Amino acid sequence: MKTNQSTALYSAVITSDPRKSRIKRLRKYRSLYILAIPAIVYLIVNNYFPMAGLILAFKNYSYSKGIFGSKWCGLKNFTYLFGSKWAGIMFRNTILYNLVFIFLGTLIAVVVAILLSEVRSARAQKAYQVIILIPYLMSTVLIGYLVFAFFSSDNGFINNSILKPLGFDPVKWYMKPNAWPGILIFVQMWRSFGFQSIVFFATILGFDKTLYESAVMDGATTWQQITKITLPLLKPTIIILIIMSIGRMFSTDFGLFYQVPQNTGMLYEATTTIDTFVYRTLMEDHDVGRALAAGFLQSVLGFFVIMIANTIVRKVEPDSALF
Amino acid sequence: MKKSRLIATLAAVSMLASSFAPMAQAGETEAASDPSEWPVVSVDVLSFTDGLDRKDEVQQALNDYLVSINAGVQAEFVVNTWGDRNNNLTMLLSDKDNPIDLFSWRFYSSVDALVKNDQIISLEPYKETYPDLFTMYPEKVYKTCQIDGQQYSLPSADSFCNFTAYMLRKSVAEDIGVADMDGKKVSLDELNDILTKAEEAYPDQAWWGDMKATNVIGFDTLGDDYWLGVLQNRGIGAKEVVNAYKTDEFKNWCEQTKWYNDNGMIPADPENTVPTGTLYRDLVNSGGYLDGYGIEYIRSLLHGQGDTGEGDFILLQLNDNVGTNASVFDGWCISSLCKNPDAAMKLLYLMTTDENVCRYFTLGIEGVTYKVDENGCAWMADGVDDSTLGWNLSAPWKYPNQCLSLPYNTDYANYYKDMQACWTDDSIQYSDGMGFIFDSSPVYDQIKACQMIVDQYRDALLYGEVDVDEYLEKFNEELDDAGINDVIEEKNRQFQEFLKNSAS
Amino acid sequence: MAGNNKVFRRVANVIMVILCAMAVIPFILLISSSITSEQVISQSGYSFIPRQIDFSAYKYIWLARKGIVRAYGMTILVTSVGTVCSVFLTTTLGYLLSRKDLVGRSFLSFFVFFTMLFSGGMVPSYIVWSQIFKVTNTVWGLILPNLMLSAFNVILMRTYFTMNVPDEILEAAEMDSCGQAGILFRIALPLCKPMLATVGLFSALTYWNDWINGLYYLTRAKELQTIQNVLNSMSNNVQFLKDNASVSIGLEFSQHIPTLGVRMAIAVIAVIPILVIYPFFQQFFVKGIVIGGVKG
Repeated sequence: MKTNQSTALYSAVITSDPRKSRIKRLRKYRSLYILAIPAIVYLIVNNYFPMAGLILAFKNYSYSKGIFGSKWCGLKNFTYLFGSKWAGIMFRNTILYNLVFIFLGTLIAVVVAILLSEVRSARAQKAYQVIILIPYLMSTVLIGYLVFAFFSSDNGFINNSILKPLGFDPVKWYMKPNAWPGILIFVQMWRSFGFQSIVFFATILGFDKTLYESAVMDGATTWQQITKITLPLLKPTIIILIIMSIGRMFSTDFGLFYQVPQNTGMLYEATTTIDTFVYRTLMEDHDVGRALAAGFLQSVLGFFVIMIANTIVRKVEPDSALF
Repeated sequence: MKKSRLIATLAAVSMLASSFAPMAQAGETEAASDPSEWPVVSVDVLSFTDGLDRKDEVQQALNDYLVSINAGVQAEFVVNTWGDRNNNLTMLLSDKDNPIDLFSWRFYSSVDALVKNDQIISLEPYKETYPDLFTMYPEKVYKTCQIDGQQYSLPSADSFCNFTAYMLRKSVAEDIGVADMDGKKVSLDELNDILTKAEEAYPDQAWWGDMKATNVIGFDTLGDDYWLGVLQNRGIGAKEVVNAYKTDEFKNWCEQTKWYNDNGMIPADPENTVPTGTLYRDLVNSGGYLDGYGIEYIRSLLHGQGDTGEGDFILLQLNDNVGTNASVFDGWCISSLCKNPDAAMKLLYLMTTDENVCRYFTLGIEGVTYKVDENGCAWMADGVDDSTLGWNLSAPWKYPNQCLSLPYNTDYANYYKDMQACWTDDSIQYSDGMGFIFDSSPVYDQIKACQMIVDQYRDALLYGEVDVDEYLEKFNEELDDAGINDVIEEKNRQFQEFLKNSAS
Repeated sequence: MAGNNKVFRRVANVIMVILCAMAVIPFILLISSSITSEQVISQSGYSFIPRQIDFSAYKYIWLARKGIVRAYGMTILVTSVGTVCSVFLTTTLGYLLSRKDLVGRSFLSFFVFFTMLFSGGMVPSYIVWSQIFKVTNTVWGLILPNLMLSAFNVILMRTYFTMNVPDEILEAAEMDSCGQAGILFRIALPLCKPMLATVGLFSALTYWNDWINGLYYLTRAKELQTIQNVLNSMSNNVQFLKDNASVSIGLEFSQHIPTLGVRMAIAVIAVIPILVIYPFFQQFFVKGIVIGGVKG
């Protein structure tokens, strides 16, 4: 049906008929437009209306006067983000963790997807798919409990059942910020790899089987099939997913960085990201303007990064660009 | 085409949002004759864990009573659980259509922040209508809820002063021969001797208290949980604001807790362990600090509201009764979105002065959720147990005037009488900082940076998990970098002004 | 060479088994701590094989079943209504965008994609939904805000339509003077069942796991809480207690706080239905995903 996704994708644009008048085309799709109105209205209401609220980032929010009645205050809401050593720490953590999550996560997911596609027993394949999805179904709160069950210093599984029998001294994990980048990355990989690899796995299943059959006929090894067929076909998907995640590079999963380390003060240097910083500092202030200032900054920075990434991709690999 | 629709809708939103301003109508003081036309005031009601099964029942009983006294106002209960309350209140306080009208700020925010965010209205206009509400407590107490001389919140009744006692499991006390010291006053050194003996006898147990025991350390924190600028000697005769973390008191306390930890007196992972009664019930922990205005009060607090499993505790008093900003625990406010502040104030007045109204909140319905014995003390009603009770009886302090309630789950009939007696007891000393409210806006950014540093370092020190000298030095360096000196300087400047004003 | 491939497959199987074990082990710990009493945990630590089986957590849940069954019912209701709406919106918008000669196609595509980048934040969103649409304290508060339409799914759907509905079929249908809507429902949709299942699964998972809407929009009507809200509420209470640790408060709370075992047990109960249902979805699901660019 399709030998190369991206050609199929982009040939679409070419086949459209530019001569047909706009009116005619509007009329032709009238019923589809009408059908899509609920969806478009939903996006306007749910996503675009609240964006007007971003102006609060420049206002002193008053609960009684609301979004438009509050007074302007310039950049005052932004200063607390930059005033101290935390600025460096939270930006560093946010960016580095996200980079690791994006690239390591994609790598693991692709590898697992390929392995999964090499499993020939249908029943085993199905079982694997169900089981690796389990972590994805657990809430971060729960993961926080589990992590505590493993790392708690007196009752924890690692200290109690692994280190102690092996004759090592127990480690106070919740006092060791150095251990936490590793723990958090592991936890994130653990809980997301199943879902991500199933996305890639489903993509692989969509590839044209005849390509593999002729490759086998030509005597290609499994390894060659992977490197010569699967990976090149997977490349556009990988790149697009990466670009999409890069847009969220300045936001982090609050649960992972707050609930999983149990908001332990001593770990702040390793666990503070923009989101947890904002939450912690504003927990008792309920200052909406300052909270939105951080959100505004995250969106704007994410927007620029995604534009840059897309531009680069468009130059190097035009077929894989997001837009 | 699409764009103009979008703009039109946006304009509609802005109109809606800008009409947020509270409707400043002069509410009628005369009650309408038909109770169904009375304004309904929504009130913050506390639940510990989930919804309260008898919410509607109690609400109906209260409203029937309000009709019977021709109150001119009806109440709607908004149940908040502690864990979700923070979020819930923020949402309710920005809900223009159906806001919460009456709420209290404990565990949510401070009067200062509430005023800055425009979340509450001033109660000044009601001073003439309800003069008795503003003269119940010592004047200093009211001051803790004033901003720029305006009363924004009505303090909730409490003793407004307290001391710290150490609770020790009675069986342990008997074993080590100190059971006869129950109710006596001891010094910290004497307590440490006792704890040493206890630890020798029961090495598996911990003697852990809340290590942020400010009264024992001797700070008046001026209401700031982060201790960024405090008064020493619990504020008595204090002349200036100092950096808590550079005081000898703090250092000594850290060395003290380090000693506790080194001797196995603190349970594992204290930062991540919740000090619930389970710890006591499971014999993990057998001691702790408790604050209160009197030994008998603390004892009944322990009995009435606690769940410590088998066995009794003895109490050792560690210091004297003193009042500070931190001993005004809570206060009630009217939301700035409240549509009928006059009605809200009327209900707040009744909650504070009418014992029947008060008891619906604190105890529920007599015969259904509670019964009263011949001493005038309340107990859980017959035929119900913890799981079928359906109302929260263990937080009378949450409501404006617990002194109108009945002592619950205790035989100490004077529980509230003695509490009220504190208001007029001249022998009780008050901190010189009582009523001082720091306007943090000039040094906001520094404060936020310092708070995170405090969270990062303080617990480790307070739980005695690290080397004091080394860690404290690093802690102080970081605080200096984050600008703690600016904070203290500003706080001190405002404090000096406050002292000058209160002297004149 | 064939032997080589066999080795590769065997290795693949071994690695998958290891990964599955890693995914499952913590879950076993979860189950095991839900049947261990807290006292045993605090004395001898967490372990995979309960030293002493104690079903009191499940007994507690059984006693509180009224609330839990209700919360369960809410979860199922919200998940099913939400998923159906979500699939409808995603399909109609996705299909519209897949029409190549559509007027305003690139604008609309960007209009959809842009929502992935910016969001107005919690309070503005709350103000819009509560003040204009009055969803607070209704079941709509759990269904409408935020979850119903994800740009990512729209893009997935759009790409799938472009690639799996051949132009020739559509043109033939147009000749038969089928309306465009008729083409969508009678011709395109049956070809796209796998994608419907995929989007359906994605949104079902989102709804099933969501607790944010319940937290924000059920300010008064707590009886509408879903199972995730119940779970989240419990852990919020525990977190609150930790943040405001002092003995007197701790004591007051202790009789009301469900033990760790209960929290674990509720979590187990909340996960199981998905594990049961997922295998049925899965056969469609894995055929569904093709990821394309925004303009596609």
